[in-house]
Amino acid sequence: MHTTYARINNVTAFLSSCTMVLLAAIALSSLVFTANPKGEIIVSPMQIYAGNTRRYMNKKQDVAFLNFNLTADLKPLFNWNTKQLFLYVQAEYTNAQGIQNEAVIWDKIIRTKEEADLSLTGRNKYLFRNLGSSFKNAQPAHFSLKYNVMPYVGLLTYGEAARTGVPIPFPEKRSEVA
Amino acid sequence: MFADELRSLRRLGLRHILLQILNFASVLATGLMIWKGLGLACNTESPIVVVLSGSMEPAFYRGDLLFLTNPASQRYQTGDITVYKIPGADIPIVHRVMETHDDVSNKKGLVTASPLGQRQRILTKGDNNPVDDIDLYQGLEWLERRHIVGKVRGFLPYVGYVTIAMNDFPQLKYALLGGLGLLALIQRE
Repeated sequence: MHTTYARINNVTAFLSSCTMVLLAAIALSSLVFTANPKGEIIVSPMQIYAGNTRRYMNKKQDVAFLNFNLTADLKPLFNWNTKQLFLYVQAEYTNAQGIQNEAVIWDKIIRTKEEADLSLTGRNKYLFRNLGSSFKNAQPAHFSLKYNVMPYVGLLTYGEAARTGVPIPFPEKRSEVA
Repeated sequence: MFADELRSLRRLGLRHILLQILNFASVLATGLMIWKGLGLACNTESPIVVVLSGSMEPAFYRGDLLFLTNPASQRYQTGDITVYKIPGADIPIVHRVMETHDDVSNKKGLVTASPLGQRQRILTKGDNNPVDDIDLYQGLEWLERRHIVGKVRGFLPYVGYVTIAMNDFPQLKYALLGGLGLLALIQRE
């Protein structure tokens, strides 16, 4: 009954159940924080050039370039269980074949509360391409700023902080870099 | 050293040993049932996975535990972190969805009841990787729903490191299993 083995067994069992309860409590506590910060995204008119992409070695594919302005105060998303924010700008459009597309064109990982007050201008970090070879006849694109809150322990949550008011049209392809 | 244990084992008799074996088997069976039941509820073949690589750092490190679901009624969206398995590759990969392309029904006049009836082409990338995953797809151009095991919903750090340690040092696994088995046999309660 009071052997060393029994004692060790009891202590570790008690410790592990305490840890479990504590972790569960922390995970549940982040459900209480329901911040939904809003910001603004402004996208400048796009430019399209033909380029080589990794996907199709010997084929030219149209690539769209754009600049954007972001202002958003995402500090409220940081609570004691927030490990980091994964922030991304997403383009949504329907192409000429009617296929609905979503593409992440820029992302940023934010790890501290101080970095979370955003005001920046950026350009697309990833190649923005259509499924086929060109953006011809694609519907204008909406852009949105989204975030993924990643906790130390518990559930991952998603949200949208900003969205363009009017869709941005795809321009004609430019033949040469000006 | 083991003489004592051996003597107590002899004293307990065959019937007791059989009972303990039965208990052990029922513990194993319960574990398996919970695992499969969870898989059924989450609609995925493995509802809990262990992170094996650093390609999602600093979000997920080696040994972190991820909880997956794969709801049959939801499409994948950009920003979702998916676990996928390419046919021919034996290790599933945990990466984030960067692009989705949803086809519309191409049969004239017919509309699918659910958006899932339509083909969805997906491109993924690891947060810590500079480029997307095309090179990992082993010749596939896009990822599709059938390659995806599930999307990450919950996160528990470090706990999965036990399984990594057991894979890296198989002796540990056998020692642990043997020890547990022996304990189950000897214990009398």
